[in-house]
Amino acid sequence: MKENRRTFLKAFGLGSGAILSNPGFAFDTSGTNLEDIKSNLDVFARRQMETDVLIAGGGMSGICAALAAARNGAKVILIQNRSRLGGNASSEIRMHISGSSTLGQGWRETGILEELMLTEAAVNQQTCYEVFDYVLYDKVFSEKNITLLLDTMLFDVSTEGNRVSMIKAYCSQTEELYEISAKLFSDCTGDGTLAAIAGAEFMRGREAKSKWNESLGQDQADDVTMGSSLMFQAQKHDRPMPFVAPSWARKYTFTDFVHRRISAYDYGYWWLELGGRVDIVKDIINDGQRLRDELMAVMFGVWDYIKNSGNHPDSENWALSWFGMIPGKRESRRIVGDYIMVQRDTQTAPLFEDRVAYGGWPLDDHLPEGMDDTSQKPNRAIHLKGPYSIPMRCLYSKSYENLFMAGRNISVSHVALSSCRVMATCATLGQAAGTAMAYCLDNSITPAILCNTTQHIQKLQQILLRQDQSILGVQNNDENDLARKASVRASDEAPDHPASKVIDGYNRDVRDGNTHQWQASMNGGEPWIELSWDNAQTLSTVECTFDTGLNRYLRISPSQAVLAMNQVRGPQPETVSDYKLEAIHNGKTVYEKFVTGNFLRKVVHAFPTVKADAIRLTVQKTHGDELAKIFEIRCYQA
Amino acid sequence: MSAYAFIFPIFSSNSQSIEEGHYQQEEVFIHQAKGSAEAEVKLLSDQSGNPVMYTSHLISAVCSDGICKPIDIHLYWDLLGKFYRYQTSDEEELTKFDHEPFTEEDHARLHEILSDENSILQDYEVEDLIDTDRKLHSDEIDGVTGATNITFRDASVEGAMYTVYTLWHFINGDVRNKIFAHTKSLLSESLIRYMLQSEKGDYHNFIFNNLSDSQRKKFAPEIISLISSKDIYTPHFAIQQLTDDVLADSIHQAAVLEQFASVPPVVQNSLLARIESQPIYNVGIRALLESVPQLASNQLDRVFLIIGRNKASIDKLNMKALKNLTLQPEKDFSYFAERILDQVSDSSNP
Repeated sequence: MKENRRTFLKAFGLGSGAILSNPGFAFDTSGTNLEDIKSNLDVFARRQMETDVLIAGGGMSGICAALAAARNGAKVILIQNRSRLGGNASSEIRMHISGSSTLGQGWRETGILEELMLTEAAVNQQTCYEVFDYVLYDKVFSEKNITLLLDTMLFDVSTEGNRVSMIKAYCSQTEELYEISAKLFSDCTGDGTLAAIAGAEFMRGREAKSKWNESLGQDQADDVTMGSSLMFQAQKHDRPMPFVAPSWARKYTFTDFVHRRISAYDYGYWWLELGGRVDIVKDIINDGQRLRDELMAVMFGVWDYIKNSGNHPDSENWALSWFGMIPGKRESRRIVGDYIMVQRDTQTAPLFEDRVAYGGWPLDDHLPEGMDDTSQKPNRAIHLKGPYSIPMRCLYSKSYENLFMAGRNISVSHVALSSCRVMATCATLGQAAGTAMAYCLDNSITPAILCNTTQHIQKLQQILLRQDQSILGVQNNDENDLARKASVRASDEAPDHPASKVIDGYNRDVRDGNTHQWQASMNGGEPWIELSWDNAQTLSTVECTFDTGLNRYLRISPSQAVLAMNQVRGPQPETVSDYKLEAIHNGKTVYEKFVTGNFLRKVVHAFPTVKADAIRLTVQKTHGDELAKIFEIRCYQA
Repeated sequence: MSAYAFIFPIFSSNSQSIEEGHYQQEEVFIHQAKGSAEAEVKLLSDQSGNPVMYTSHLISAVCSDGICKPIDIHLYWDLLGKFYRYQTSDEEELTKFDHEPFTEEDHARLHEILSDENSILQDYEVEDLIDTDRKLHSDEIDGVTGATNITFRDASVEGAMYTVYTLWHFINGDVRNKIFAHTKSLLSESLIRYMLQSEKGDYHNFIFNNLSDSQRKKFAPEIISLISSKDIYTPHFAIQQLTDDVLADSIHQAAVLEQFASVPPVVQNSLLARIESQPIYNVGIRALLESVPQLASNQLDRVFLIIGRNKASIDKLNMKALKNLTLQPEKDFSYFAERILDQVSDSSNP
């Protein structure tokens, strides 16, 4: 009789790191026969894989890291321990993506995240959460340099000296055991699992005020973190929908909600939170399972209160339509990098030389007790003056020279994390890390050398900027951008928005008192803008950055109120929809491309190399705006 | 979003000023705030000796860009250390940039900021609040000062930021803890009674958090009358203070339930939850029955469940009331009343 799966896994090192090194202990029977093990391999397939970049974790950070690395030429394997991508943003947890839009200063995140959000808004008019999962899957799956492994759990990491060499993962759905070697690794697990197994240095809990002079720190350091939440959705029906609470639901009364507002019934509440005082990462078997059960009791208790206390009579026709069973985690480990970002960095916003992303969410620390103590406020959010920069030195481990990280497990203090943990910021960190990984591979350098070399860092920043990642105080300095040397004119220019703005180095508004886009009226016909050179240029790429209303929000949410708040669902009205792009030489069109139905902010046109002395873009249609708007045009030889 | 912020009336500079002469004064401690001069904190009590509020006469200077402005201001806190109001004299006006005096609006704004104990002013150094790119040029002092950064606009009076910052920190800093501790040390029967009889939800809550069970019994009458308090939360916290002992007392129980008909539905629901498993006497049942026609349908279940559990308290008067309820068969409550009557007649059948 074949041994059961569990003992067989032990033989392959689940939790022990050993591969067939000691097959004897895995079997009860004496007289172990190696032939038995080999014959079991037709149940578990063992896959050895090799790649440039291994990314563990398919949340918003991991997705953006994978796409960024892949698009910059690296071969990527992305492993995700769920069936769907997206992590806390996916349909399984349904926390909506928050970020710097909250500043109200027009700092919505761009780059890959913007591409994902715009796509979702355009194709998911029905606002179905699983379609968001599909958008993420489509983007990742369609990227030829990415191998996506879903339902694949990381369980072991091998290291050699100060390098990570291999990870082991397991997929029960497909009965596969993976051994994945890579040149570079990125921990986007959120929990810092890869780093922890590797033995990299990490932080956990809340630091004392005195450690980094943080006014929001604790009097004494402890191992408490922010808690996790479960969300739910409900729908209104045309008749009363009774609800009977299960025996294990908690019981709440009016005074439990002194500090927690039950505003609407269609979407649950972020304050439905527990677990900051429970170490869900260390003691996963006991406390992690229990935490989820306790959160279920809280969630059903709150719903019971809404439906049956009598204090919300207007909830009578409402009924639950969905709820999460995976707690949305806010904080676990924080991997130590060459720099630890702290509270003051978010409030005074220094411009780090190696800055690669920005945050803007308030310093938003949560009461660790969560719903265990309803007499206290669930959080305190301290708003920031403006966005703050995040340095590259926070995105790689100081312990292993080829280990990167992105997401909520980066090198920051607990207080700083209370701001930079939100998913929009994490997505941009993923793009930064992924781009940096590809850069390091191309240049055969470690991230430490990258950050210590001005020339390298500036090159990386220019690559990021070109790929639409916004970095505070960094403008287009790309010497290879031929557009910067062109003369620009247009058929029409709105006041204060001349054609020359498309090469002024900025691709968005930055609140500096100046405008940074060309605008022309659509009422007079089809406005065009033209870049020209005295001498013919060799061109193969033209890149455009359009307007997508960065002063608004753009994100799917289960909440009707959030969807309606300063957000347009669908293609953004300011965005150029239809246009003609021409390359012209001596008055003759040598390349022509018609685009219809564009809804993206950043569009890259690659075409067979031509010789041209002018590039002309004719705007034929917008998604509603009466003005044609373009932030930036770039031209490249290659 | 606490209801307490709305309880306390906002005083504009037009409202009646505080005549300290009307109060007994007693210096209780000297407070030195960081970077400020020392200030004496006094307790003001009324003629009966009840503590009413704390006060301090702050004389200090606010300096910025090398220019110092004097402040001379009277500050008042309530008994728990929460900011109440301030007073300036005509000779010592508060001024803004370029010695412009505060307008009425500025005073109202300042009061609002100083009352906000969660203000963002506690999380930043004063220099951080300024936008270094935007300066205001002063003709009079021949210099420039920074304009307030947009994030802090609601937390400051433009042109008076240093004054606002200094005052906020003095008023909401450590002195609050000292005041609170001092009041706690004064807690006596009369002070407890005084605070329970006040209209401040904060005071009620403070007392509720500091009562022993025997005190809950002693102050039952005051606690019970708070069930009709207009504060959003006080009635519920008061109901939580009712011990089983107190509810078992027929006089107290009657005093509780005679308020049932006139309190808001959410308070009714809290009451019903509290008395669910308590024995209810005749008078209490009567009060519940009287309220029935006004109750929402989702409350009827619970009320009649309680009545059904206390059939022994259905005396002649209560029987009559029940029968009256059945006279409107189209109403939900009629059905519930019928069921109770059935059960009562069943049990009285030999």
